[in-house]
Amino acid sequence: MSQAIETYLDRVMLYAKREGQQAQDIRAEQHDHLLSRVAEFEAEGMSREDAIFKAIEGHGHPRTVGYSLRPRFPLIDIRNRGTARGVIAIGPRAMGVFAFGGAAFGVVAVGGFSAGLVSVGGFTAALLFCWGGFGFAPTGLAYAGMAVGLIALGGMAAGIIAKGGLACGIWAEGGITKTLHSLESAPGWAHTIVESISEDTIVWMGTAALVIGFLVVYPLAMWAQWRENRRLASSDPWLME
Amino acid sequence: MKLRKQTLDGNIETLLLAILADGPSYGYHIVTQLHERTDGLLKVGEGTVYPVLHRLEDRGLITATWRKSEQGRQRKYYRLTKRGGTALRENTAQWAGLMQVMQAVLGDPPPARA
Repeated sequence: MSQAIETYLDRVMLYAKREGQQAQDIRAEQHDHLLSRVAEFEAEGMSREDAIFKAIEGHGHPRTVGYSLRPRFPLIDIRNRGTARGVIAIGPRAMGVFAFGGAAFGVVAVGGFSAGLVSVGGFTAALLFCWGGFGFAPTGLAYAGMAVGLIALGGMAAGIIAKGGLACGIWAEGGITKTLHSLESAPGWAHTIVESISEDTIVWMGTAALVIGFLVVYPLAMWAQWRENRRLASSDPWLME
Repeated sequence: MKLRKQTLDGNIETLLLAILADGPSYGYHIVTQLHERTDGLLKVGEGTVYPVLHRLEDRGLITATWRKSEQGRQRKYYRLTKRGGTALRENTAQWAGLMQVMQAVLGDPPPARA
C-alpha cells in the first residue's frame, strides 16, 4: 500500500465520475497496474519512493486518465478542460445533443463558436436556424448581425433570399439591395416565411426570446462549471493548482 | 520520433487486439508488450490504455474476467472474442492496404528515430 498511489487514484476517480461496482473495478485495475509497475522498477534497483513516483508519472496526469475513464456519452458531462461529450455537454469544447461551450457542436449548440442543427453564438453555423453575431445557415434560416444562409435576415444579409440593412441575394430587400428579383417575386413559401419573420412584433419577440434564453442558459452553464470546479476543489485543493 | 495522437487514433485498438490475439492478458502486461514490440517508439500515458480496453469490451471485441494474480491481488484478464478476431483481421487488411498505398506514393521512409 502506498499513500501516494492512493491519493493519485483518488484524483483519477474524481475526474472519472464513476460510481458503485464500476468505480471499484476501475480503481482496482489501475491499482494493480501501478503496483506491478512499482515492482518492476524496484526489481531494476530503484528505491521504492522513486519507483512509485515514476510509476505515477508514467500512468499519466490524473485529469487525462480520469476524463478518459468517464462513461462514453453520459446524460450530463461537465468538464473544465478538453471536450465534454454527453446528452448535455458543458465545457471549453462541447459535443452533445445540447452543447454549451467556447466551441459547441450539437443538435442545439450555444457558444462562442457553435455549430449544429440549431445554434446560437458569436460565430454560428447551423443547418436549420442560427442566431448570433455572424450566422451561416446554408440550408436554413440565419438571423444574425452578419447573416449568410438560404434565408438570411440581419444587419448584413446574403443568401438566396435576403432581407436586411444591406441585402444581397437572388431575392433580396433592404436598405441597400443587390438583387436579381424583388422579394415580392420570391417563391410563395419563402416569401411567406420572410415576411412573417420580418413583422415587427415577431422580430422583437423572437429577438427578446433568444436574448432571454441565452441569458438564462449561459449563466446556468457557467454555474454548472463552477459547481464542478468546487466539487474538485473541495475534494482535493491540489487539483485546482 | 513521437507519433501524433491523430495518427494513433483508431489504430491503438488494432494494436491491443493484436496483442490479445497471442492469448489472454491483463492491462499492465498489455502495456509492457506495447512498449516492447514498438521498441519504445509508442509513448502513451499508461493509464489511457484502459479506456480503450473498456471500449473494446463494450463493443464485444474482447471479454474480461477477474482472477487472482500471483501476488494475491485481483486482476482483470482480457481475452479476444470471435468478433474481436474478425475485427483484427479486417483492420490488419485495411492497414496493409493503406501501407501499400502510402509506400507507393512516398517510397520507402527513412528509419524512424526513437
